[in-house]
Amino acid sequence: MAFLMRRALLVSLLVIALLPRESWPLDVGDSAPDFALANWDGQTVRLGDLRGKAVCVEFWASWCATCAAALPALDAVARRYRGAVVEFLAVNVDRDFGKASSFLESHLPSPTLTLVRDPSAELLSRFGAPAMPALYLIDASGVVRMVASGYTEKSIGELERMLRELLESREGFDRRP
Amino acid sequence: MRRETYSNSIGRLCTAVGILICGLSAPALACDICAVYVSTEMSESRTGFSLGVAEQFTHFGTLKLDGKEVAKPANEHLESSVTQLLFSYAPIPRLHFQLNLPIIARYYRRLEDDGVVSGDETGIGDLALTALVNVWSHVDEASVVRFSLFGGVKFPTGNSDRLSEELEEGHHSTGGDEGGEEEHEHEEGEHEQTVAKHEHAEAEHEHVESGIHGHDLALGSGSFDGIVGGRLFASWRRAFLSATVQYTPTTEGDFDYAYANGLTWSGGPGVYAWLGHDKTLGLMAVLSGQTKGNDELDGVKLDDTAATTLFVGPGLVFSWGTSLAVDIAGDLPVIQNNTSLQIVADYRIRGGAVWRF
Repeated sequence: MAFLMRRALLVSLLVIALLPRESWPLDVGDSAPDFALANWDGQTVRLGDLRGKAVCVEFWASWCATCAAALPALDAVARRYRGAVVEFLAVNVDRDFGKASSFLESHLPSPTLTLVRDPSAELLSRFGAPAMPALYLIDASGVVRMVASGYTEKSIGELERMLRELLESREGFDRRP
Repeated sequence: MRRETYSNSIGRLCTAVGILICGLSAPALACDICAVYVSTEMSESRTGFSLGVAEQFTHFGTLKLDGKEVAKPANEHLESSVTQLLFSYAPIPRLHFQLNLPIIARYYRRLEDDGVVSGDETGIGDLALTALVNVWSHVDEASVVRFSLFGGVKFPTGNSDRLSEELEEGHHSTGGDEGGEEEHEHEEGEHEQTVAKHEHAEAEHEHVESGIHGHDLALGSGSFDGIVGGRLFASWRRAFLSATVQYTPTTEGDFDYAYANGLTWSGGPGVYAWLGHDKTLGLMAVLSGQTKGNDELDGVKLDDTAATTLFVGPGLVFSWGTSLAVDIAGDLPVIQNNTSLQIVADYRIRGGAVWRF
């Protein structure tokens, strides 16, 4: 029995070692996978097209009570950084577009954020987000610099601090005006 | 003085327990539904690999003849441990494939021709490959509902040598499809003899049949069998219901032996005692069980193989983000019906952990 268990453990460790890294949840230091999602008007937004900019991605849903606070807070940051080389994407995972729109009317009637849709939660699954809402900061070269799960004022403060650092370093940023 | 110290200790303990209970049953956090969604819908929809281990330990220590407990003069018992290694891959969010590799260890004490014999049987069991598809899910401000179907194949990788004992047991068939009326009458007569023989043996402690058979000890069936089933999860605020039903249509395997088709189920209501933004802890009342008909030997049904058991017990489920899911349950039998002489379960302990990469 002990022999069998040892062999099983070895097989398990071998399987873990062979697992492709890209199937793991996205973490700080990982390259963000490219994606293409439709915005509220049906036009496609690609992460690849945003290279040269820092990109802030937040997953949200209409049934997420925390998102009612998190989304306006992120929108306020987006307003403060308007004109900077930063893109703010709010990724909605509702299947029902109507519910998502109603939520916005109630909680964020004039968004600065770029609103995109992931109704099958496929991108959410690929990111492997550990909570809802989930916030990712991707630098200008496509590397994840921050992951925050849930929502706290502290996480928004941390996001702004990271953004300032990125913008001051100007590393990899598109220098076009 | 000593009493005061003791009293203080008790007081501190009560305070600590109180804090723990209050912590566990704290009012709804910012987004309860988010935690439930993450631990169920989002965890199970995640693409990529996962590894898991599950253990089921069962103690069989009661001898029953046609559903009635009988004396156990030789103190027959069987301990069964089935450890399953689970390898899973989800290429897309709503589909995943899972490979189950069971490692079985059984220790027994039973009556054989030579007297009371203790022994064990350990090794790899029958490997199973299943595909699970999420066919419907729903999320709103108060509830998460998820329904999945699964199906697959069980491969004959386990050692089936113990089934050869069935050829030597001198079975009493129950009137299988191929048996004629004459054979049926003979079988009924033989069954009566079995009962009489056992009653006689109880008195004299000799020539008794064992309740632990070759089919109980075999690690594999030698057959390719099917697996079909469904899984439901539904939550409303902090209450939830979880259920899994699995049907196993079987085919004839080694030694012309065919295990009967089986139905297993597990599930019940529960409540989330703790919902954090990336952690959940749920307590459940679990109803689980299994039912199977008569196995067949060379097309003839065997009378000492049909059994139905319903277990009830507490369960605990824990999750951490979309990465870790853990569950533990203890089962006590409340209904047990069986045919002829069989050893049946006294209790069962189950647990499992899955890590999604």
